[in-house]
Amino acid sequence: MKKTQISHILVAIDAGVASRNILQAGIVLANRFNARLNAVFIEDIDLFHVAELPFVREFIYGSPAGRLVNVAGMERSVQTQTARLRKLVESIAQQNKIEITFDVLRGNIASALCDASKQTDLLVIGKNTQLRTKNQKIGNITRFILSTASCNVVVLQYGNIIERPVVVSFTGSETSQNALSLAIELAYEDHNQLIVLLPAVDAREYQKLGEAINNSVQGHSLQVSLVKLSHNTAEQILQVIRQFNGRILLLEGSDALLTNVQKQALIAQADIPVIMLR
Amino acid sequence: MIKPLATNQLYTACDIDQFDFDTTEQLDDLQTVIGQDRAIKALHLGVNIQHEGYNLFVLGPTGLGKHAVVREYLESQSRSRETPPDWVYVNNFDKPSEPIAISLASEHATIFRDDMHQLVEDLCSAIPNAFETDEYHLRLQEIDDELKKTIESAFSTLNDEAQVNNMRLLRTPHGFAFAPVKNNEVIKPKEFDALPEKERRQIEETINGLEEKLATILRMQPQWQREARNKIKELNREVVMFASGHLIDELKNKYQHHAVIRVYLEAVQQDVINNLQNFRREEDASEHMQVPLMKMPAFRRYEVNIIVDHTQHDGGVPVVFLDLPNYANLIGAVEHTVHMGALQTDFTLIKAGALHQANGGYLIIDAIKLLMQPYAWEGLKRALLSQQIKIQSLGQIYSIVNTAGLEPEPIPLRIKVVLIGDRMLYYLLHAYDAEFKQLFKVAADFDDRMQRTDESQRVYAKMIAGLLHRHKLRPFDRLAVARTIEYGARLAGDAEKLSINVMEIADLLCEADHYAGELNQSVVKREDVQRAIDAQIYRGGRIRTRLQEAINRGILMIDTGGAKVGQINGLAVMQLGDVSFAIPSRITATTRLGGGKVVDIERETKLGGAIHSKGVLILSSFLAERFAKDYQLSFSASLVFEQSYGRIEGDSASMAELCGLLSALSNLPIQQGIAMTGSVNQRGEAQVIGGVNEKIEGFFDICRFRGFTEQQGVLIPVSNMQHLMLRDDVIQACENGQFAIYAYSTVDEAMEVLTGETTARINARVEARLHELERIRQRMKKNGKETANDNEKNTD
Repeated sequence: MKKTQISHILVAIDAGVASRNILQAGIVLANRFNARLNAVFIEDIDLFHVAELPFVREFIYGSPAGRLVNVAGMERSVQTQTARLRKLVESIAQQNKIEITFDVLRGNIASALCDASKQTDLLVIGKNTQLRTKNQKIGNITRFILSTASCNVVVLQYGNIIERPVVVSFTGSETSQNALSLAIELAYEDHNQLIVLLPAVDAREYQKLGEAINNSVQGHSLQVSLVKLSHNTAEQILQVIRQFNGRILLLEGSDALLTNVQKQALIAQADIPVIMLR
Repeated sequence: MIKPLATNQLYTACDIDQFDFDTTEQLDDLQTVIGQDRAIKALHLGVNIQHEGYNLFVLGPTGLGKHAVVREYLESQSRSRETPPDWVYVNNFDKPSEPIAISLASEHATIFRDDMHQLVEDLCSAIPNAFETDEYHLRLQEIDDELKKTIESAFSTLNDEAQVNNMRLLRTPHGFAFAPVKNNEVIKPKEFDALPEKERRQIEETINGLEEKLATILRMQPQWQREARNKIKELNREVVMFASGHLIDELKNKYQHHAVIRVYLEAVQQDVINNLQNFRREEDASEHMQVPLMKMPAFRRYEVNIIVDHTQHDGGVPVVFLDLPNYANLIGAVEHTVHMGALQTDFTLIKAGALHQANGGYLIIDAIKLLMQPYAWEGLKRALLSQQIKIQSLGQIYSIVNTAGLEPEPIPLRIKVVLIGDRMLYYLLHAYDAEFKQLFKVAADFDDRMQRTDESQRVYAKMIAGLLHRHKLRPFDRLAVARTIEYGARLAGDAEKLSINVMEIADLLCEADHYAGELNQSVVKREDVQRAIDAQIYRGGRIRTRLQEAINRGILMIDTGGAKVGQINGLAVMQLGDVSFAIPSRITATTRLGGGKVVDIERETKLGGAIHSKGVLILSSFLAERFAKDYQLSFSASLVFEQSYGRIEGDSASMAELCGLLSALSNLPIQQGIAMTGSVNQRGEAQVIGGVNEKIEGFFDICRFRGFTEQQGVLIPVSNMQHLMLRDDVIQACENGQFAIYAYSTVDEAMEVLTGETTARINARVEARLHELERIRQRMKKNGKETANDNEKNTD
């Protein structure tokens, strides 16, 4: 089986409290795959546009009275934020004895991140569900990245850490082969558990997929559980995750198992890290 | 002329025929205290009367065994009484600086403490388990989700509205801001400026409207979080109640009749809820650090500080003797520990005082020790007056320290305090401390002597047997017992009394036993007792020997032979430590023409005390009464204790002074081999004096050293005959006619012995001399001359 190569990981951080958490997850993955780790902060260009409008006010936590913003003030705030993040990256790198490069870009966050991730194998982002509309399951930026980014994407909820058991979907597609390969690598350690989700298919197809999985896991000391879904829905996948106490989910990015909307719903509801593979 | 006393009048021996035992082994220990009926009755009253202020002061000289008697009596009384309650201090969760005092039935304090230890141990196990359940985590998650949902919902509603109005909610470095959007892109400033005025104003108004809603959400957010926290608290409370409720309820049931403990347990339960993080966190630490659970800072608050515990008590009420009655040992104290350089304290550092330990029973204290400790006496009085023990540091009481300290709840005080001290202390307190009378209404006055009768001597023998037994000494035979009894009479200074100074008697017994041991005797004999007495006299005789040596060498001038006018040997007793002895002192009298004044040189030089001066004035009155009823005394006289350089007090030499003066006036010499003692009244009658035995023996020793002349002896007042308990060698010398003791009733009897003349002749010579002096005075007055001494009358 072809081994999925993860040699460069990009971690997207911002001023939110989740950034430290995201960086830690990135470190775990980098150590696991022996990959290079790069952190990136995107200075949102829209903030500078807004700052030029004379009537726009900024509302901060704990002080509901807004204050007028201006470009210079915004620039100062963003620079302060950047400096703080740089320190955070440095301190975490030092604590974990790992090299993390740190880049600062300015632009539209979603687009800039997609651009920045083009040269990477894995993009780690946080899941922001606060600034979404009622019709959306996940935030605009997450949604955009999931649909646009060309690399594999890890979506983390605040507080998530990378641990096992690993749950992976397998449809037999090339992407799902990659997902399985990565899942094996993540799960591999003496007798660790791997839960493989199989789509609702007939017995023949199921057997075929099972054989493919057996071939893939052969030689690895893994306890593999094959779970055949009765319906290819986000809800059923979540049910299986809960049942097996799964701690990380690897999902293929294609529509072979779930539609985009279903995937967004799954990511929105899953309280474990989800790796979307391309 | 009076005759010398017979030898049987000089010593009242103990008749051994009255004893029906050979050695003290055959005697039972004396079960009662002898000679202290008055004190025992006072003790009985003080102990049994249950009114306020009936504490006791046991007074009497040292060595009477007051401590032992009081303690034995109180212990005998204590056994029949109900044991008082135990006391503990527990934390006051509402006001930690005011710990709560709880009383429990006797011996239940440790049970309650163990119950609380068990409770905390159980809680440390039950509470973390309860918080580990899936149910708890699910409910916690629900609260968290609910909060998240509330916030997200508020933001998504706002976001929806913004989207409808072509606006976008942006996250700024510090919070949020709205931006106008066109074609899903934030409008750039230049584009915005290019918009028509109306459209720009509309965008501005829309943003203002959205901002107000955003402000509302941000304003509400802390409230939602607070609500979520309250829900978590309520959930935690429920979980703790579930986990701890039955454990605490078990204790509540156990202590259902103890209202204070029930209230305390409810407070514990509430505190556990408020501080449940301690139980969720500390359990593991305790296991690893091997620190007792209740010693850990988080759980000390549930400790039970036992102040009074009667577990080790044999029953009855406590009898406590406080050896070092300082303020803290008496009232109790709040100790401190140093933590990071700062002093810290809590209710577990409250230490009981003797008042706590003796509460409900008896507390024995040495009065002098108590009074010597700063503020201890004040503290004791305050506790007795308020009938409660309130632990306060001296710093708090006297506002020396202003830092916040503990103020433990006062504990009701029901106690009998027994102070033991000497009489002087009792009378001083009685005179100068008004509260003393109010608080110590019963005085148990211990006597230091008892009547000497056949019956009392038999009882005394039993007391000796008891002391021998207590001190694990050899038995005494009858003669040794008799000699000890005679020693007791000598200690009392009275042939008809016995000293009950147990300490001194016990000392003699120990020393006699020692000498018997040196001779490998199994029984102590009279000779051993005598040896011990002689050794005591010898050990304490350094000063006496030196003085006698000075007399014998002529440094101190004392004549023991011949006769001299106006010179007589008085006898002075000296008390140095526990040794008293007497030495003779030469008294001289001179007379001259004058106005009738007797000059007491001791008084003039301020070396004479008031009583001594009184004696001299009395003898002056005697002279005037007897010899100058019809005319004025026309002489002046001077009296002096020769070679005396210290203070003279007492009137026991007043008779000797009078005799010296009469000798000077009559010009009749006094036999210097006779010393005398006794005080005189205005009628010339002899009055009793103290230390008669020592005085006789003091002069005897000088005479013996110089060699007996068979003209030597001592004059003592008749009333002192009953006190005679003289040494064997004195009696022997009297028996042999070498020495004589005369007992006189009046100055006339004394003068006859001293001068060998009859009273009539002596008085005639005195009168003749006084008349002669009066004639001279009259003649000089006629010639216009006045003696210098005539002026004395005017100036005196």
